[in-house]
Amino acid sequence: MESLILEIKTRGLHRYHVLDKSELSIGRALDNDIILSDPTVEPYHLKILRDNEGQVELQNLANVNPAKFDKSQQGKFTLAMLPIEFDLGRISARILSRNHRVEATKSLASDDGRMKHLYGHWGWAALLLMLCFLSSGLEFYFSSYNTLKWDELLNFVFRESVLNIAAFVFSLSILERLLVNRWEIKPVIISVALIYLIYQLLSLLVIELMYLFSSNTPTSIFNLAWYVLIVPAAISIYLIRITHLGQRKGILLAALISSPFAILAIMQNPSVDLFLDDFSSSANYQKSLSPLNWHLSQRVSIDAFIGDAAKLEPGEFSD
Amino acid sequence: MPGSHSLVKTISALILLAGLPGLLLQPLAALESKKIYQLNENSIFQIRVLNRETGKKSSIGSGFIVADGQHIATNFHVINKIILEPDLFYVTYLDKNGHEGELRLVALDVVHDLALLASDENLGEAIVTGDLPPKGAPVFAMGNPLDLGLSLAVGTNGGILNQTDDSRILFSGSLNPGMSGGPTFNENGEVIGINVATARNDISFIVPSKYLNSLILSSKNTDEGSSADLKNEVAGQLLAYEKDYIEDLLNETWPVIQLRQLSLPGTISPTVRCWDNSAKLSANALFKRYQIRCANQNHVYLDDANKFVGDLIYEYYWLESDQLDTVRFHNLYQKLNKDQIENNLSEDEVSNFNCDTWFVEITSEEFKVNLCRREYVEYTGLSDVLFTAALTGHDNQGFFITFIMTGTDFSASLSLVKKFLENVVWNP
Repeated sequence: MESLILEIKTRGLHRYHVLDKSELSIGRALDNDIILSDPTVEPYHLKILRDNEGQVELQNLANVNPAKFDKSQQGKFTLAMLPIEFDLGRISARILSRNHRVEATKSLASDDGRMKHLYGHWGWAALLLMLCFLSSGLEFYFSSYNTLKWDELLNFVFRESVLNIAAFVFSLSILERLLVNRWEIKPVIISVALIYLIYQLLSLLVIELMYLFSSNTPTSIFNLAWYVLIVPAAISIYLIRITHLGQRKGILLAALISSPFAILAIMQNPSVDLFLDDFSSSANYQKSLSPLNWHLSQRVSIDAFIGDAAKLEPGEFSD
Repeated sequence: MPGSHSLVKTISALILLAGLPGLLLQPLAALESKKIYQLNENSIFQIRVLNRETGKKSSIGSGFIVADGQHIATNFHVINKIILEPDLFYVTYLDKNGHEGELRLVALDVVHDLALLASDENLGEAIVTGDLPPKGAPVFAMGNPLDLGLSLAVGTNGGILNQTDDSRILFSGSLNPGMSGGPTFNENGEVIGINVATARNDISFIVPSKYLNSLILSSKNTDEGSSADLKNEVAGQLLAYEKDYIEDLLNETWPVIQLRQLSLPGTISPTVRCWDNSAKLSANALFKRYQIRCANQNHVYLDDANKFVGDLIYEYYWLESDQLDTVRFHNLYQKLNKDQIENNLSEDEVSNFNCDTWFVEITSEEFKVNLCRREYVEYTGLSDVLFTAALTGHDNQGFFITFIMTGTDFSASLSLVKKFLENVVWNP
């Protein structure tokens, strides 16, 4: 009788048992062949039977949370139907053949032994963190109009970058620990720091675009795109490529993690805000001013401006 | 000595006689106000706007009998709810004996905040109007302050205020809420004005009675209209006033004021006052700023909740720094670019703003210009206008012009903006 493999799926590494007997019992009781300690599994939950022809029969023994498997075969499967998937309570399992193909190995190191990618390099993490703090300091400098005070600068950098980055690193590390049972601090720090820097750079670009187009649309689009598209994409890339989570799982989890920020960004978007609330007593005119003074709008005379302005209609009435 | 005794007596009599007018005058002023009260208490009522559903007062004011004895004069802002929601609100009078009766609106002068109401019955003796006494003369305002009953406040005539477009008399006495629409008398018991507003202790305002006389005369030729007609009438009066006001402004020769490198329109009308509005900077500030704010004083009240139109506000804001680099300077410059119209109107009263942006050459310099406009829900054609212009192309100099008009005619306001911009001169 060809031996098969029983895979019990867990959060971290899955459990594997060799099915080489004709009868195997699974349940929570300690006299089973395979013991599952999950409370949704009955003491005697399932029996796996094998005959000499290789047929596999699954017999449900549970009244509470009966085992779920393809009932069309009345619980009897041939080897050609492998893998056979079933659930015991909230535990997912499957029966595989010994020849079942496994995924390619994901290398942590290059052929010559050095780190293949910088996500494993502490130097790179430290450099990126320094750049984050520097950019935060520059943000403070360029938005302050009084004599520079070092304590105010440090306070700002601590509040705006150190605390924020620490909070995200902590949260994502905990999440990774829960998902894959490992601590991966270095890649988390590098990823969070990279995202922070990219956000800082793009924000500057967006402000110039607002002036260039004399419109608030670039910032609306950027805020939406950042939280609805870019952040979820970055998180899913991290989960799939660094944490080696499955693709579907990685994308779903990334969407779930970033959903509160996405919802907040959507609610705070001026167009959506106006759509929902229907009225604003503020005049939302284009307030940006730029040292570069690059703008696509043509310069016009006073007469031309007045002529054009006369066509300005009032805003919409609320419902 | 008999001769010296006679002299003493004579001198004593003379002193007594000299003091007698002083003695007599004090009780004479008290008698005047008392007499004025007694003569007119039956002709002055509390005016109430009642909710048909609840039967309770929504707002109160005062009013007095005029013309043929069947008409009552009061303020527009006291009764404007019956125009906006005629199905829900109606107006009544209440006399000192507790007798109440319904009134109907027959004529309006929104600009001077006057309304003429009519009753089907004769209400009593009409009060006559008279001339304004000299400045400093005592005047007597009557009305129903704070729903406490008929009262009289004594003050003096502070004269007609030209900064209110001659539409207000300064009353140096204390008017209180509820006295709006009541009469103010001269010493002859004639009405010289109608109570309209108070600013603070012993600074109050009265509408000259000549506007009431005009309203009474014009009401003889008009019919009562529907609610929609009345709203259009309100809008029409406001728009006509604004157009005339702006036309007067356009016809004036504007004085010039200097602000750093700019020559700018100064106090463009007697109705406008300009103030230095430069805020104190911290000792560590690396920039300088100078601000002038000019505004008119002739508000036109729309209701009793302090909502008004007719604002004309223009501000100049100069910013410079020789210590900030251009990036820091422009961050500051942008942060200060945030003017709004602060009249707290809700979605039931106005539309949303619609704004657009241009780059305009003004006095050979480039300005980034924004223009925003919104309309009033109930008054067709009436707009609020917000105009801002920010100087561009200078590394460490900035300048804002802000121009606000509320409850105005949009086209007319653009004519004013145009003249403004044409009178801005950059001095290199």
